[in-house]
Amino acid sequence: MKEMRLHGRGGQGVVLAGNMLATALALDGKSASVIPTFGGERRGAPVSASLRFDDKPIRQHTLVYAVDGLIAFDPVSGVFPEVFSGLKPGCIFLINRAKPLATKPNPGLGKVGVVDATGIALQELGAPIPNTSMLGAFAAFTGWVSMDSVLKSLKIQFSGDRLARNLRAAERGFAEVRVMEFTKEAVSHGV
Amino acid sequence: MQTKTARGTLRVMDGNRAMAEAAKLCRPNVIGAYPITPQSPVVEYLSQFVNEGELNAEYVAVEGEHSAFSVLMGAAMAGGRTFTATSGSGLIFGFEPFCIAPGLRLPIIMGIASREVNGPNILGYSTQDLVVGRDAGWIQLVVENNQEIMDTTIMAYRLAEDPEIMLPVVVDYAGWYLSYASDTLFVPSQEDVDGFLAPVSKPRELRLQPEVPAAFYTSVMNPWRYSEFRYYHCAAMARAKAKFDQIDAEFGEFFGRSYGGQIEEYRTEDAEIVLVAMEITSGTAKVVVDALRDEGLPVGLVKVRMFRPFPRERLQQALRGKKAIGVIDRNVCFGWNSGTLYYETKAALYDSKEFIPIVSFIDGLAGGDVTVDHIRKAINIVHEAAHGKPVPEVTWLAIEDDK
Repeated sequence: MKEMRLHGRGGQGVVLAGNMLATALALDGKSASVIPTFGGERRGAPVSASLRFDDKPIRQHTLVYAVDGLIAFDPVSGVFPEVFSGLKPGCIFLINRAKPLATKPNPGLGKVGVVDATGIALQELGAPIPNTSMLGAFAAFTGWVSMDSVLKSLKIQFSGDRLARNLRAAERGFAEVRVMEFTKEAVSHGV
Repeated sequence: MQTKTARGTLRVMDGNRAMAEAAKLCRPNVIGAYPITPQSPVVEYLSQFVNEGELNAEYVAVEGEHSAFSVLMGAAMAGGRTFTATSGSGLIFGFEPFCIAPGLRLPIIMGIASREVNGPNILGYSTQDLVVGRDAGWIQLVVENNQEIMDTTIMAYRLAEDPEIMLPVVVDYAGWYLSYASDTLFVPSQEDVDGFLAPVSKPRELRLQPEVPAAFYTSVMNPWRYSEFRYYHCAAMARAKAKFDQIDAEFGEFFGRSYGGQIEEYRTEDAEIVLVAMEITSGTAKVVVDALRDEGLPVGLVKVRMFRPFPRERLQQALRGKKAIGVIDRNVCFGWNSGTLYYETKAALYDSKEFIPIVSFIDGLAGGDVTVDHIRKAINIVHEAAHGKPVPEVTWLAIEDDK
């Protein structure tokens, strides 16, 4: 079983991204469950989603405390210390930001990926909703979910012009994600 | 996604969608519901289904839950199949007709996305609303996951509208943890649901019709007659237990999924200590039971699916001869100052004429997580009780974390 958290802010499509990723994983033949956490629905407020997937049915209905993977939808809150709680060895980290990371945001992390998902979203959707470009980037960055299934899950969620735009955003996320290379000395807390 | 099997079509959806899709499959004639977090999407989906012609129902956009229940009381008196959904404070806003409907023997089906009701924080999950609504005379079913939301709602119509039962039924599911959480599940076909509900889909004999005058609701009834009504209400409640077991088994033959009826026993047969839980906690508890079994501890779980009527006889049978029992509640029984399922289980065991140590755990209030660690801690305490060590009657697991 892999356990992940998605972190972001209200309005960035974190909850919907969790649903679409779970759908894509199910299309790949996995069992997946995603539990979003938020209080009252508010734009800008912290939102996270706990996602699990496995070859066996998922029965655990708790938040995720030990992570194999983290996705950060927000360039700023995405590197807050609490995001990095409960890292399993080699936990992968994908963050939405325009510029590369100079240092590893937490020494416990394994592979780190960066994609300018908001930039892509502004160009393709005309709105700063980075979720679908993040999903495309996630498929390329991890290989944990097939891009074919990610695109299929978008087709279940969207239709018409919105679908076409979101498919382009996902394809661009897939193509434009970069894996960061860090020298050992550059590792630090924060950015 | 469209992977069709005999059991249904595999989809990924959240609990609110599962509740709305299940209601749609049962073809209600009248829907009256008001949105409230964390149930709002149920109302949105159903109004959309009606608006887009996917569901042929009268959708009444009410101004609150009091009106929702009142509208459905009229619809049910006229013989209609009804549906509503609410949550926590919404339930309480409609409490007057909520309490009247069962006394009138109206088979209304209501989904409740459970939510905390006691201040200072009512924006999170707990089963306190289930407990507050416990003594109104409704049948209350409680589910573990999204598949069970869908399947139990379909079963609920068979139970509520059975001529031997004729009572309203609540299908209670976790707010946030299921209502907004997506999971893989099978959606049965319309044809199969129609077939399963066929025994209760004929027009009811007793219904409000202008040409056949009948009184359904009168405030001039004498107290003796009222007591007789309540007596038969209780008799129907008693019948509902075995009836639910039977409907669940029949559902299994139809759709390939069954849940044990009133209770599900998980690895209890050779267990020395047993946890009793309801709702999503039972899913996490199964994971813990499996892990502890691997470590050699003979532990099992009883999941209570029917909270009203209370599955007293089945619990006595499942818990017979056990060394100790722990009950996990996401609610508080004020006055007893324990969990509610705890003291009800304890009362059920009184008739079994054997003394079994039983302890209460309160956790997961106001959206708190009932974690794997908390459940392990609970089992450790039950284990100590099984070996005659003194343990507290009630342990508040979240507060224990701070000690």
